[in-house]
Amino acid sequence: MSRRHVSPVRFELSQHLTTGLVAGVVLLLALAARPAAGQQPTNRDSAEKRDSLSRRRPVMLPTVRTEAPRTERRLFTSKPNVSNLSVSARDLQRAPRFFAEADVLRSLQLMPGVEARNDFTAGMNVRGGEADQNLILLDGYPVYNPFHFGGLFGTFIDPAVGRVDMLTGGFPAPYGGRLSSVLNVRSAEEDRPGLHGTSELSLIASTLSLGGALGSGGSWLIAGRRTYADQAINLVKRNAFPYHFFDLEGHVAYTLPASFRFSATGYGGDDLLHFDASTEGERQHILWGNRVAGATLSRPFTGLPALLGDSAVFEQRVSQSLFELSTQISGGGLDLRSNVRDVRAGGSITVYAPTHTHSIGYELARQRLGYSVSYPVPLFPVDSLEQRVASVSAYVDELWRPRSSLMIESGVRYDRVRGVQSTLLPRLSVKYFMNENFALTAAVGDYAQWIRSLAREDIPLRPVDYWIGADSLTPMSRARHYVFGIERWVTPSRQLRIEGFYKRYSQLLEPNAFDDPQKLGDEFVPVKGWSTGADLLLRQFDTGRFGGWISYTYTLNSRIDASGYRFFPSQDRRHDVNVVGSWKFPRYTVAARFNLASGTPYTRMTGQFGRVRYDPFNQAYTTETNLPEVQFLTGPRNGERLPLSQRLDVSVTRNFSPGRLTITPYLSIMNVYNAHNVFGYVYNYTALPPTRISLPQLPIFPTIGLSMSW
Amino acid sequence: VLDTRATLQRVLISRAATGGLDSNGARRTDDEPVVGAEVTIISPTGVSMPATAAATPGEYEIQPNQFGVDVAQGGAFSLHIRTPLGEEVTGTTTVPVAPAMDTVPLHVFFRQRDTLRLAWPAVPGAQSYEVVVQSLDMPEYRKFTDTTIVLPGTALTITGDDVFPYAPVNVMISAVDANYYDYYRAQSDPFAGTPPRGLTGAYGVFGSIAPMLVDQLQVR
Repeated sequence: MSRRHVSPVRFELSQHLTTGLVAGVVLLLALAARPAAGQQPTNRDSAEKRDSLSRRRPVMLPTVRTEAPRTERRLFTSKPNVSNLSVSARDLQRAPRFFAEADVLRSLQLMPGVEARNDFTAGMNVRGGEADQNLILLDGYPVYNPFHFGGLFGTFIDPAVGRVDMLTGGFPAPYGGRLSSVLNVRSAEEDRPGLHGTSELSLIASTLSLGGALGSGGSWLIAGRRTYADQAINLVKRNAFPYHFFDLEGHVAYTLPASFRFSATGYGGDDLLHFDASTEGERQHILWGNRVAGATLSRPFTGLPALLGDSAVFEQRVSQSLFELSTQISGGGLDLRSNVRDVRAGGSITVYAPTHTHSIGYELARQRLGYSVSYPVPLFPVDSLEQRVASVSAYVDELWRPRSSLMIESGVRYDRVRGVQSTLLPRLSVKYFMNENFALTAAVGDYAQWIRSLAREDIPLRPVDYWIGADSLTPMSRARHYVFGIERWVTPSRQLRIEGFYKRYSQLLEPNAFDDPQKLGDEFVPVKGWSTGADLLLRQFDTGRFGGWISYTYTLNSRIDASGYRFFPSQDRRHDVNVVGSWKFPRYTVAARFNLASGTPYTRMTGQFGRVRYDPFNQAYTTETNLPEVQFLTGPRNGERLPLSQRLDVSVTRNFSPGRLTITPYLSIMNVYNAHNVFGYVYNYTALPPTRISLPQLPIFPTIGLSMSW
Repeated sequence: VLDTRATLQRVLISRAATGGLDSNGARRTDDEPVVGAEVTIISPTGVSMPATAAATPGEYEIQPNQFGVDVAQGGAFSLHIRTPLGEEVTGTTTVPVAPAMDTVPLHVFFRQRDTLRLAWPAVPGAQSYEVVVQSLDMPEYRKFTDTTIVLPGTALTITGDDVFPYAPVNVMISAVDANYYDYYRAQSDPFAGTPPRGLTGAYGVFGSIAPMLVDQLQVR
């Protein structure tokens, strides 16, 4: 009788090998003498062999570590990858919650080069660029206003996000249409069979996502979120807080016959404020929302002629993206609308060869863009426009690896906007490996933008962007990026990246503060200038107890307006440091984020006077108009700076796992020590003495919630 | 503002509140009228018309017909101000040629049913046209437009008030010059500074209007 031994064999396996997510570690005990796969004897049919094996003394096998390369590491070795921040959902979730909600877009603002001027803005300023210079994509399909509640929350539902790729500069030829950055949010793909999901309850909203595997290599996912403060407050006082927002997102991927792969994404989300009143003039109605639907069909090919390469991937996608804002204040006394209808089709063929990757692609897009306002009000654009924009883009991109230590990605993009202009935009990026863990990088490229926002950068409150297009009177905006840097993998789980950048805006337009609604073509005024600086990212990937990153950004920006006046733009934040970390303990996970940032410029008020009107009936001056009119006198544009801002957010989560369910209650505190960060100033020169009141950003906000996953 | 229909042209001068001290050494909390200034308007033909101080402090009056000048004929008028502190302010306005005044007699306007539709010919020298709706009960409603205006009877102002309250309402259309239009077409924006104004040495406006149509409504 053979003896059976319990042979402890230790494995470290990847939890998500197929998706390339961060490798996890699993400790397995082999409960029988059966060896592990990959360590089995070559001739298992021989009875004598079995007998001889069973008679041997037990052998302690060495640890076998099988770990999928991190996506970030794979990008490091496979592409120049200049200014690319690739962040997994797990990394993003590591940051403490913002205002009770885990938020991808808020978390991204903790990365180097990405700034938000304050807590109330929907805009991101990337490496000194204006807030409308970012292309935001959901699975490659554009989203025009991905924020809720005036910029407080992002529209992306946290459990539905798999990965975020942010290109903060020097991006290659496949991307175009914006001057500063590309943010691509990729939907999560649940590859486990069965039904899996996540449910979250916070003080503000509840979220539910469900998903699972679909056929071989396919997946499906559906997620929704709704705020319920309106319902809760309604129980106490009806119509006291008549506001809510919701998101609904679905993603499906499926492998069809003949190796075709189909994926589709749909998103819909609205913000709705509806204040009913008995008096018509007191009724308020604000609605805005996005709708995105897109589908992609792709197919890999092998067995190509040797001259072309060894394999290829064909991809074709179509999408429609809508945005609509409808505002009726005072029962319609002010009617403000903005809408975008974007329809596009694009495709690419990528051919892979041992030292080359060739890509060729195209994109056809049509947009209908509109903005209208029934009455001029301060802070909002005063013009009314209706536009149709049609563009054709094509690109070639070549990734060449002439030596194992050198990668060169070159390409050119052609953009033609009907009735505006066409342009050729060359791109080049290079990576040189000093050794397998250390590389020098550089990129240069030209960029163009023809869809832009009427929202003015100088106004610190940016609830939404009002998108309109270039036309024969307002040309494309142009910029050139220069980026150089180093990337070093200090350890397999620790990355250091330092990049310097210089962005020159040879042809930029900014919204005209004195736009004449009766004149077409004066909606924008020309500006030129540059942004330069450097950013640093030291990132510790989660391998066990600790994960997090330190990011630092230095920027220096200069703009020159049409009159030749040089000024610092409102996004000119010189220093911005973020420290983000999470510590895992056996039962708890503690996460913290600390931000320290220098102040942004603002224009100081130096005085005020009443704007009297001339009354033609009585041939006298009057102040009896329908709005009090104060004329502010201002100092030099952006001649002053707000004080330093700082904030500490912390969260504590507790993990329970009864059966297949994981229950995670959490406590999150935003702005722990209630730092008074200045949002802006309100001046009153009629007070004695004159006053300057600083308006604060978000105060301390503790919240609790519960997350469940299965 | 020069008014082609007015016999007396009025100029209003004040100092903005900037936290400084007024002429009596006290800290100013509101606009301070500038008294004792020398105000002169020069006609297109070069006639210099000095103003006299009006009863209201900071307000100055000129009666152009005393100088043989008819503002209604239009043309470029210049303003020159010298304050008691020696500050110089100048400006120029091109007065639109005043058309014949058209007055629509009082008529009934049913608020729930009717829509006010008015159209008028373009006026030489006018940059835009201002519609002023005035009643005793509500703050006046103003809007710039081209040569037409359409206002439903149920229209509301930005503060939610009725444009046409149940009361006698007067509607006036005036042609305005570029200075007036640029200064008043948008409300003051604390992030934008001061609008284009056609003045040097001061903030404010030196503009002109030519009233051309009055419609009188009895709103029911």
